[in-house]
Amino acid sequence: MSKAFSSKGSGEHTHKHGTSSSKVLRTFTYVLTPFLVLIVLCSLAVLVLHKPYKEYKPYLDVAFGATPMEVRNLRTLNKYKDDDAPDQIKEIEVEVNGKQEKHTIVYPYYGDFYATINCEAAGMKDIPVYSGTANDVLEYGAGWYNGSVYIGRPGNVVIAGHNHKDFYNLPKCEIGDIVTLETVYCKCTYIVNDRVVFHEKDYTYVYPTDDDRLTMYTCWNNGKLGMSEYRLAIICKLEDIEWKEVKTEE
Amino acid sequence: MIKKISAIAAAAVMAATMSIAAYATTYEDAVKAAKEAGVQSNNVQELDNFLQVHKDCFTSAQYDEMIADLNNIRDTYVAPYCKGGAKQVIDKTPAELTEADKIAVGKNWTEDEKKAICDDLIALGKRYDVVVTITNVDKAHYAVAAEHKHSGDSSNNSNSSSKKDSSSSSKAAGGTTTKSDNPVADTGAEAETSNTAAAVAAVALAAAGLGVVVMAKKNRA
Repeated sequence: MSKAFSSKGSGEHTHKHGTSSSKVLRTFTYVLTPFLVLIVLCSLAVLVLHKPYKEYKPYLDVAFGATPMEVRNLRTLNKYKDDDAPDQIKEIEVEVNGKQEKHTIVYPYYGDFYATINCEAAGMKDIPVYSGTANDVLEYGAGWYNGSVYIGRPGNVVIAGHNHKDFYNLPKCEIGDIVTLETVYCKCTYIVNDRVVFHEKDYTYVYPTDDDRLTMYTCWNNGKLGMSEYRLAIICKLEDIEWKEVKTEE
Repeated sequence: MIKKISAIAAAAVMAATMSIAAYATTYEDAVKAAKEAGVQSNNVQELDNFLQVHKDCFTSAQYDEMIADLNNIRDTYVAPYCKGGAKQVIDKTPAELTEADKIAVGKNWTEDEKKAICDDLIALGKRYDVVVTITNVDKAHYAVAAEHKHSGDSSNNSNSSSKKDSSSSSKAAGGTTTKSDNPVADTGAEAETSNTAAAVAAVALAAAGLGVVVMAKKNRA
C-alpha cells in the first residue's frame, strides 16, 4: 500500500514538473517566435533588396539629392586642415612661349575647394573640384588626384568624379569640345581629344605625362550609373593658360 | 707662357670650386633622385607635390640627406635587379625603368624588403618632422602621403624665397596637402553602407534561423 502510494506520489510529482516546464516553454515560444520570424523576414528582405538597392541608389541620389551628414559638415569645415592653417601661396617660374615668367600659385590643402570645371557642350556647368579623391571628398564634388600635377603646372592633371553626381554629364563630352578649369590663380582651357575606357587597375591614364593635359574620369557601366571596375576617361589637350593676379592679405 | 697657362688653370679651378660651393641642392634635385631611383611615377609626383609646397621648410643640407637616402634605397633594393646587378631581371639602369619594369622589380622583393623600404622612408620623414604614410593600394602599387606642420624650427632654412613664405611657415597650424589616395578612385555610388547592412542581415538571418531550429527541437522534445 505504502509502496503503491509512494509510486503514485512520485508520478504526480513528475507530471506536475512536466506541466510547469512545458508552460514556460510554450510562453517562451509564443513570445519569441514572432520576433524570430520578424528577424528572418527582415533579413531576407534586406538581402533580396541589397542588389537592386545598389543598382538604383545612384538614381535615388540623383532624384532626391541625398547628402550624408558628415559631408554636409565638410562643406563648411575641412577636417584635413587646422582652421587657422596658413594659405600656401608661392611664386613659381613658368615657361610661356619660350620665356620664363613669374606667377603665383595657391596650393590647396587636402579637402580644400580647388577649382571649377565647365564644358558647355556637355552640359557641365561650374562643377566644383576639391583637392583629393577620397570617398568623403568625392561626395561633395569632383576630386583632383594628388598624384597628378597641380593645375597650371606642366603634365597630367587628373580629376575624378561620381557618375551619378558631378560627372553625370561627362560621357556627353565629345572630341573637340572646349573644357575650362579655373582656380583662384589661373584659368586653363582645354580641348577634348580622346575618350578611353580603362580598367581600374590600369594606371596608364593617371600617371604623369610629358604633354600638358587634363584627364577627367568616372565609373563606366555601359551608360548605366553606379559602381564599375571600368572608368571612362576624357582626355583633353591644353590650349591656353591665363594666369591671374592673386590677391593676398598682407 | 707657362705662367699664363697656369694662371688660367688656377682661375678655372677657383671658378669651378666657387660654383660648387654656391650650388645649393633644391627640392627639384630630390625629386630627380627619386625618379632615378626607380620610384613609381605617381609616387614621384606625390613627392614633387609635397616638396613644391614645403620647399622652404628644408635646407640644402637636408635635401642632400634625402637624396643620399633615396640613392641608398636605389642601390640596395633596385640596382641588384637592374643591368649589371647580382639578381638582374631587367636589362636597364634604375633611371631607365618603365612603369611595367618597376612593377617587375617590385615583384622580386620579399615582404621584409618591402617593409624595410617603407620603414626607411617613414624614418626619413620623421627626421624632418614629416609624417609619412604609406598605403598598399594593391600587390604592385603604393600610395605615399606626407604631412608637415609648419613650425618655426623646421622652417629655419637658407633658401626661403619670400617674406610671405617665411611668415606662413612660422605658424604652427597646418594640414595635410597629400593623402594616400588610390590612383584610380571609386567613382560609382557609395556602396559601403548597403554592404554593411547586407552583412548584418546575413548574420541576423543565420542567428534567427538557428533560434527557430532550437525552438522547434525543444517543442518536439
